[in-house]
Amino acid sequence: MIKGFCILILVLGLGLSMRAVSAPCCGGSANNPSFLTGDDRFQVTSAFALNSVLAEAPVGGGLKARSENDSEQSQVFRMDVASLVSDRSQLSVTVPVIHRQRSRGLNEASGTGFGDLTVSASYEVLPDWNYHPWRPKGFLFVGGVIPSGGSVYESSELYAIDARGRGFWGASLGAFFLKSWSSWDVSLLMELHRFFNKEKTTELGILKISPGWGSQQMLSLGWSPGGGAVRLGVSVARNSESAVATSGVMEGVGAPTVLWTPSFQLGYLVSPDLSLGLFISDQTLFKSSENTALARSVGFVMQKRWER
Amino acid sequence: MKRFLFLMVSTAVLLSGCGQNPQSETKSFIQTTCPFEFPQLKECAQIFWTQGPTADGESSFELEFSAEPVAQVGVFLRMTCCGTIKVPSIQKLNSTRYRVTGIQFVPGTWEVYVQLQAGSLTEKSKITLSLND
Repeated sequence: MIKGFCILILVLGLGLSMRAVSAPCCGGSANNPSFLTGDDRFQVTSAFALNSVLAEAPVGGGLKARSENDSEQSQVFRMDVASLVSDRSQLSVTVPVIHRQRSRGLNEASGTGFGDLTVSASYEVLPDWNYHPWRPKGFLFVGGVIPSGGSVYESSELYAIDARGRGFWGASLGAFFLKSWSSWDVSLLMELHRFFNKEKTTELGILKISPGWGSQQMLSLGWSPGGGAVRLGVSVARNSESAVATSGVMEGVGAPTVLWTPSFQLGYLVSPDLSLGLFISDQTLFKSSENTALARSVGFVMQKRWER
Repeated sequence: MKRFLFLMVSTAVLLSGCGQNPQSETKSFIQTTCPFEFPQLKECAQIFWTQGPTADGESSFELEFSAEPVAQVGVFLRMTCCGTIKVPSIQKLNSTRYRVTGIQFVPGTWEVYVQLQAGSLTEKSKITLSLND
């Protein structure tokens, strides 16, 4: 059972790492928190992902491939630290470091720096009842996004390569449920977030930028052959952001963003307190994304836990 | 027969426009082209790109008004997908001409706005650029 949960933790870690650079045009999205789902008091998760932008999803949906001479990649390193505060409550912090590079023909730009930082607090509302046939383990969480990554609103470099985040303070509220039956497991994450307005003083007056609401849903399914140390997983995540509106200097509304991310994972439980994993995701598989860049990612994740 | 052929060729050349006065063609072009129109302030402006427009480097342009604007001139750029607004530097060159520099587009669709502000009256006019490839 412990093994099962440890591997589930890994699934969540995998789900986290692919989101850091989801929309190069308009910045990233909110990050999910890291959870202690097993019998642990502290855990550190580090993930490294290589993302390559293959196409754009236009405003009206569909898929438009990037031209051959347009190459955009990012390397994302993320560190998630989660700690118990009491028997059922916990805190977590996520720190991403992002390297972005883009070349078009003879022109090239690259840059490295922090992405948006995330903090969260969660409470275990549904403790684990192993014997129950369907009742899952459940967490409620609240989170905050600190705009430390820079954004397209302040960017001054070629291809906005210095934009590594949304550029807004944000708050989130969500729930995470997970359940395992022998060698199978399933988890569901639902999250609602709000990015807050900000004002910029320009030569033409005050510009107010209103990013609005967004949400995330992620469904994961896993199978551990023979209930062993290996887990094969698949997940689908949907992220949406409302259109950014501006007022003051310019009254206008952009377009909403929808991003679908299917992912496949391979996890391995090295020991009860250490997990390793690989994942691959391809946002061009579904043609339902809108107004965002679409990337293919491969990544590696490692998680160390300390028992209670 | 030779006379007839000469007459035919001359008529064809005239009908195809080769014989038009270049000055009258230019005049007609200026009269019908007003990419930035400000009906309330009775102004018209044209844009001349001095660099770009490109997403692969810095872009700049000059703005030529039909008459000296009796208003404060401003320029800003808006990326339609994301609501991103950029305000580049603007410098007055003479009574009707302004230079706009420091533009850093990213690939995508942009709107270039010229704004005239005279007291409480603000007029904006725009053109749209597609810088995808």
